[in-house]
Amino acid sequence: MLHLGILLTIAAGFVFVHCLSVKFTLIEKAGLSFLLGMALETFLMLFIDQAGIPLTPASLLTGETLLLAGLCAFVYRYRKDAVESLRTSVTLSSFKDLNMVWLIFIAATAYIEYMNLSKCLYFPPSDRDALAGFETIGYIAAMEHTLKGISIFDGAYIQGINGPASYITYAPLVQLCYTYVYALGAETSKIVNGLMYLFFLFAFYGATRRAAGNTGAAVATFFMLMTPEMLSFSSLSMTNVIHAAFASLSIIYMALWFREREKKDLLVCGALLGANILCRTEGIVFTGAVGLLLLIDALRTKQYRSLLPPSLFALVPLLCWTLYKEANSLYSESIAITHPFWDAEKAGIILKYIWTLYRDTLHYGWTFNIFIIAFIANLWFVVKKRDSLYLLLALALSSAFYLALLYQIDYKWDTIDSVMLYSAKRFLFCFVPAIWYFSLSNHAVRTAFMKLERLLLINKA
Amino acid sequence: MEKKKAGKTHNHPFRPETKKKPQSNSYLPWLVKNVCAAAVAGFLLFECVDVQGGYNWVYNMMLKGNMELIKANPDATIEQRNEFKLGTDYSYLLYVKNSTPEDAVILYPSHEDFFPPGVESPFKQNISNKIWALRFLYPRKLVLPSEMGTNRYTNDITHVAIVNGRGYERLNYETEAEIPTTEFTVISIKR
Repeated sequence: MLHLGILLTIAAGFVFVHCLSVKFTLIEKAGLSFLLGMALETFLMLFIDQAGIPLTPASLLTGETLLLAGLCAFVYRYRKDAVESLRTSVTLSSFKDLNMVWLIFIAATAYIEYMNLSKCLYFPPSDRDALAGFETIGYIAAMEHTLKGISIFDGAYIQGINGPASYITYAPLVQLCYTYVYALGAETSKIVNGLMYLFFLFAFYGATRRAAGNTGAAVATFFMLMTPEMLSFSSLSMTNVIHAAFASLSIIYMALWFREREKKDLLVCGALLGANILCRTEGIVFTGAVGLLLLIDALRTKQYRSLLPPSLFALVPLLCWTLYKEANSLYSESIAITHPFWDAEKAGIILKYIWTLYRDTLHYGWTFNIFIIAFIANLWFVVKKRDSLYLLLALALSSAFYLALLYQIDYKWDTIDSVMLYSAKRFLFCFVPAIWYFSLSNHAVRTAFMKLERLLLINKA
Repeated sequence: MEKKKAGKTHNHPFRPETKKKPQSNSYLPWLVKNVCAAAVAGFLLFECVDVQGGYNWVYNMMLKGNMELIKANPDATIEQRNEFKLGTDYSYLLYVKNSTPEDAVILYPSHEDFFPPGVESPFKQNISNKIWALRFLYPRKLVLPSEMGTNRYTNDITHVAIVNGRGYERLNYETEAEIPTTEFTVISIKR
């Protein structure tokens, strides 16, 4: 039953991507299928639960099948284009642009991910934040067939459940993913984390190769995968890496939209932003940054209508989750300081820790060092030709919003030092893939890789 | 650079446009160039994993170390895998789970019971977290000593969990003759 559920999820995500556009490359469609399929499934589960239907295997599989049927009905009119696009994606000629440098990096990526996936699937969840939060909520929701009314949301049983930063109001995507697999008979929830990261690698490679070429994308994927702290967290039952997948891909697709002006990228960017906010509430910083840039662009080009569908994709999940919480009295003591204030000491502490993290090569490898080099090497093209300008603005804006968010938090459940020391290192995961995308897709590096690829092309032989 | 000509759509905008040249009969130059480039790339890749502390740790310690454990215990049960990761914490929870019925309401030890002052404890910090413990003990209900009188299940307690010899005083009867020799146990409440 678990395998059927996973297959249905992948199929629903795959068809959903076709609903957005049939023009995506096969590797992008495959990569996005599980990520968006799982996001759709959990979004659907909120409605099933709110309707009072128990989250049982029967209701989950029926819901997923109906969702798939609905998506298939929508995409039916584009069937010829869809089939044609799939047929052309797997022709032999698509392999003629490849070379042995690409092969080395792809083989190394496959080997590292094989070890990582083995580790992920072998060990049951053991990290503190998962077992004291997402993992246990997902497991108990599967056992009790509901999220809104589970026993551990009862304040008379679990005291402090409505206290500051309580898990009762955590965005639900990851918990519901775990509920889904546990309800379908999984022994542990790690299949979610393992497959999310595996499919993310495909999606990242697929999106990056459109801007950086095959070899550049292979290099970016390898180094992104090797980011030490992110790789070690990718096999844990935490939300951070899954969130990073959604948030970073949304920024990358926004960059692709500004580069190629194809509507499909804007749509998938919106869908990924919606999933990002269902994954972690702080995802609002990415929605804000990307939304602001798209709005500025719409004002410049006077193309307001194109913003509507992605905005709906991005904001409706947040609206639904907010209504779901209100309807079921899921609340916790607020930790947000809603009025503006100035505390130089607090700002200094946050900046000190973030600066230390940016320079920490043990946690992030060469991610930020390569970024600085690529940025300097490409500065002329950024200034003169606006190369990757919107991508850099998105990174800068979302970083600024993140810092502002950390500043506006009232640290009453823990000390600011503790949060910055132990948790903040995970906040930067969202930036790592987007930074590697920039580092390999900017004009200077792209030109260098283009020359390398021309030198090594098989059809030049 | 950001803006491309409106309406121009194709799947691989990056693909380099190469001028068609007469096909050569030999693949040798292509092969030599590729092998040389691959050798350089491979060398750089291995060097960077070797030289950079983070990449070195991830590959040689984390991934290889875990693969060795996996290969040495390919058929380990889920209980054994939990023990690999959680150690005594899991042994304790498994013991409590196996010693109580699913509808049990357990008076669970406090943080001080797991970590008595001045005594080295075999447990890790998370064991005293109620939600953490519930992941393994569900559907049993847990009541902490600090919640007595305020928890919904205070009057329904069926078992008292004992650890480090602490918790006997919470039983509603004398246990002098029943004190077990094991480090931890679970004792039923008499009704």
